[in-house]
Amino acid sequence: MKAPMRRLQFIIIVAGLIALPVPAAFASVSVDIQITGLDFTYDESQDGSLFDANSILGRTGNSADATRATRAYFYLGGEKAGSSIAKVYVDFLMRGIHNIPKDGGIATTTSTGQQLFGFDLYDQYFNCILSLNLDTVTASYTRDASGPVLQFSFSSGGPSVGVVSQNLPYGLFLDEGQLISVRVSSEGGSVKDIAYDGNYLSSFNTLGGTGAVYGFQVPEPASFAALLIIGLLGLEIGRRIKSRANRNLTRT
Amino acid sequence: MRRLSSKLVILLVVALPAIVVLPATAENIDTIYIPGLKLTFADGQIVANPTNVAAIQFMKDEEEVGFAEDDVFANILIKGVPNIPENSPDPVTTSGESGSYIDLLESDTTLLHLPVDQLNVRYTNNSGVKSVTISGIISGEITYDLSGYGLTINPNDTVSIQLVADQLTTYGDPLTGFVSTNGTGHISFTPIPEPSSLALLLSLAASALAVGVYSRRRS
Repeated sequence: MKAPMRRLQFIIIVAGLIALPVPAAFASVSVDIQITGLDFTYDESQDGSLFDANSILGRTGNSADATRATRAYFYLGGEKAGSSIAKVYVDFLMRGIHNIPKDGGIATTTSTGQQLFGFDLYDQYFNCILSLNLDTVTASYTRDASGPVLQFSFSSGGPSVGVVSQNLPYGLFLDEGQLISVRVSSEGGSVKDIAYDGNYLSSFNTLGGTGAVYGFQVPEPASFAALLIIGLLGLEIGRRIKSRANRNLTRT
Repeated sequence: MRRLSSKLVILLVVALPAIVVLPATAENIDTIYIPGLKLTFADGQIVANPTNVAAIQFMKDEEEVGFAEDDVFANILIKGVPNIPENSPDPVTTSGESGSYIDLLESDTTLLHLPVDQLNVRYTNNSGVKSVTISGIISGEITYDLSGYGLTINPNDTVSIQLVADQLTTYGDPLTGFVSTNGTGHISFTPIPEPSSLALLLSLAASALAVGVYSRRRS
């Protein structure tokens, strides 16, 4: 009986070692959300605020304070997780973006820790599917021959900032323990009513920009996979014990 | 009577060019979105060769007029891309080498072919959130087949593009290469101006003013 037990132990160890890399792989699967047709506004005079075009107010439960975007796309591991959702709502506010150079350049803010709210995404029925608090903001502004080309990128991430709530479709669930980032950008002709104050941008409107949220899937499937592997091992062990017992019976 | 007819001629002479010259209103911009764009940068070239994208979205005056998500591809080659410094106030500029292009395809049909000249490239890294933005205007002969999606491009129009590469794995400092697993493309252009009634009214008003000034000077 000693030899079969040792063999079983060996099988368990080998199987366990094979299974170990699986959770690690699951942990790094990216979750991406992209939003098209996003209108937003920058107003330096309101504490350097960048916000969705309808209202600087947010997280009020009032759809009038959010702005309708054309579509949201959802990805898991860089591949489409399901159909895009048309006519979503976006509600966001970033404050403290000052001194964006008039002729193009980069402005970085530091977190004030007093953000009213961050970046919220609602479905077509105005059900909140993602609510994030945001942190440091980097705003980069490029000018070229096509006129003003603006890109803003800002990030939120880690357990200290994190996710307020999430109810994403297609089984997506952002891992709060990993970096979550948000970007909105305006391109070429989508920038309107641009105004300057001295050497800096003072305000503009964007019609039809884009937005994106990037993060990682919570490693839930890893524990599931581990359980599955343990279950399979148990079955295999049972089968082997049974067949050995049968063989011993036949010999005797 | 003779004076009246000369006024009429002036009116027509001024009005017609005004109708033709008047550009589309500022809001009247057509846009193509390309979500799910995957770009790579290596050996001085930014490439998507040819890559399935999530969809191609066609917009007119901020309204979606067309949407394709099956068998849609982006085929992109941007040559002469220098190394890209991180968070530099000034973007780097591509060499403008010929043979660079941005193509959008649906199955075997080329929906849009944009020959690319010089573009600006910028790399931002905000606390580990990395992004590369490629932007500029298109010069050269544009070919397209967007009739199924309600958009028309005048080859003389200014077409501006912006490609954003997110979710980056980067190489080198300054950047000598990257692999982006997701990003978005944004192409906007001014459609062929159509003499709307407003434009016509404006032209006529401008013409009437011109005629008035002309008559006053003559008298």
